[in-house]
Amino acid sequence: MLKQLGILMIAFFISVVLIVVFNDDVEKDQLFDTTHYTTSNIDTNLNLSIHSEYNENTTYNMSEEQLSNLAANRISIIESSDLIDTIEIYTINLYEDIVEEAVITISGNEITIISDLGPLSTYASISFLPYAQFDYSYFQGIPYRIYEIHIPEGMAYSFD
Amino acid sequence: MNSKNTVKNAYKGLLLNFFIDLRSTAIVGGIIVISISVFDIIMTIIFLNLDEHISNDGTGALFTGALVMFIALLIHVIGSTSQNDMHSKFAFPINRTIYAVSNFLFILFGSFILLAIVTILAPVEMFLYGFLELVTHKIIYLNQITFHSFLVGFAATWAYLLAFGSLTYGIFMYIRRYKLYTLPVIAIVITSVFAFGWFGDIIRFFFLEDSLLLLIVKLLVITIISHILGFIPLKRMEVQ
Repeated sequence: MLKQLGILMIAFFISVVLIVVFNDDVEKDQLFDTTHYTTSNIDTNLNLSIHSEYNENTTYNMSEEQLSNLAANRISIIESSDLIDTIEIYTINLYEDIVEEAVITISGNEITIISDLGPLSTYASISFLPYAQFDYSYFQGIPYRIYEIHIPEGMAYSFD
Repeated sequence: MNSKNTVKNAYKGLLLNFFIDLRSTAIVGGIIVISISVFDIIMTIIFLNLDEHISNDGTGALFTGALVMFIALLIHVIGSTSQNDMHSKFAFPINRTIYAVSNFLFILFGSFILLAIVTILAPVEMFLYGFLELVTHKIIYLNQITFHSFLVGFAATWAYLLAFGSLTYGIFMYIRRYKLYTLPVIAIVITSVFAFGWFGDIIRFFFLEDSLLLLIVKLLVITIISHILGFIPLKRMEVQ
C-alpha cells in the first residue's frame, strides 16, 4: 500500500510538471493565427465596442483599418447563430487567473463585451452557451456558439 | 514506551485500513473520469468529422475529475459511517479517540489522493487534444494552467473536498446514531435556510470567498467543527 502511494505521489508530481511545462501562455497565442480557424462569416467591417466597468463611458471605436486588421488576425468566429443576441459568457483573465463573468451582446455587426476585465486582460477566451453551461447542448437542440476573441494588448490598455 | 508504540501502531494500522478501503472508491472514480474524458474525445472526433470547429480550454479532466472525486468521496464517507463499517475498525487497541483522529487524517489525505489521481489523468487528456489539434487543425486547444493557477485550484479543491467530506461525516454520524431525531432537525434547518433566504448568504460566506487564504481558513473551520461534532455520537456509540 505504501509503495502504491509512493508511486502515486511520483506520478502526481510528474503530471504537475507536464501540465505546467506545456502551458500555452499569452505569448504562445500565435496559435490564434486564424487562417486555420476563421470561417467565412467574419465581417471585415465589424464594429467592435468594448465597455469597461471601470469606466462605463469608455468605448473603444476602432478605425476601419484597425477593424479589418482585427477581423483578419484577432477574431475567430468559429461558429455562429443569429438566434440569440445576449449571452452570458465566461472570460478568463490569464494574468490574474480569475474566471469572471461577462456579457456579450451581438447586434447586427456590432459586438459589445461588458465585463470586469481589468486593463491587464489582453485575452478573453469565450466559450458560451445561451441557456446552459453544458458542453453537449447539441443534443438538446440549443443553438451553440463558440467565439475566440483575442483582445490586442494595446486595446486593452486603452480602457483607461 | 511500549504503550506509546502500541498507540502509534494502532494509528498506522487504522490509517492503512482506511486507505485500503479507499482504494476501490479511487479506482471507480478514476474509471469514471477516464470514461468521461474518452467520451469527450470521441465526441470531439465525431464533431470534427462533421466539419465542426471546437474549442477546448484543457480543464476537462481536472474539472470533471474533481467533481467525480468529490461525489466519490462523499459516498465513501457516507458508507464509512455505517455501523458495520465502524465496528469492523474497532479492534484492540483502537479506541474512539484513535478512530476520530485517524478518520480526520484519512479524509485529509484521502481527498488529496483522489485529487492526485485526477491530476495524473490531466496530461494524458492534454496530449491527446494536442495531437488532435496538430493533426486536424480544426480544434483549438488551450492549456491555460500555470503553476500558480494549478496551486490555487488544487488548494481550493482540496479544501472543498476536505470540508464537504468532513461535513458529510459529521452529519451522517448523527443520522446513523440518532436517525429519528436528526432527520427532522436537518429538515427544519434546511427549510429555515431556504425560507429565510439565508441559503445564498451562507453559501457566499463560507464557500464563495474571494480570498483563497480566507476560503481555506473557513473551510478548515467547517472541517474541524464537523469532526468535533462527529466525535459526540462516536463517543456515545457502543463498540464491541
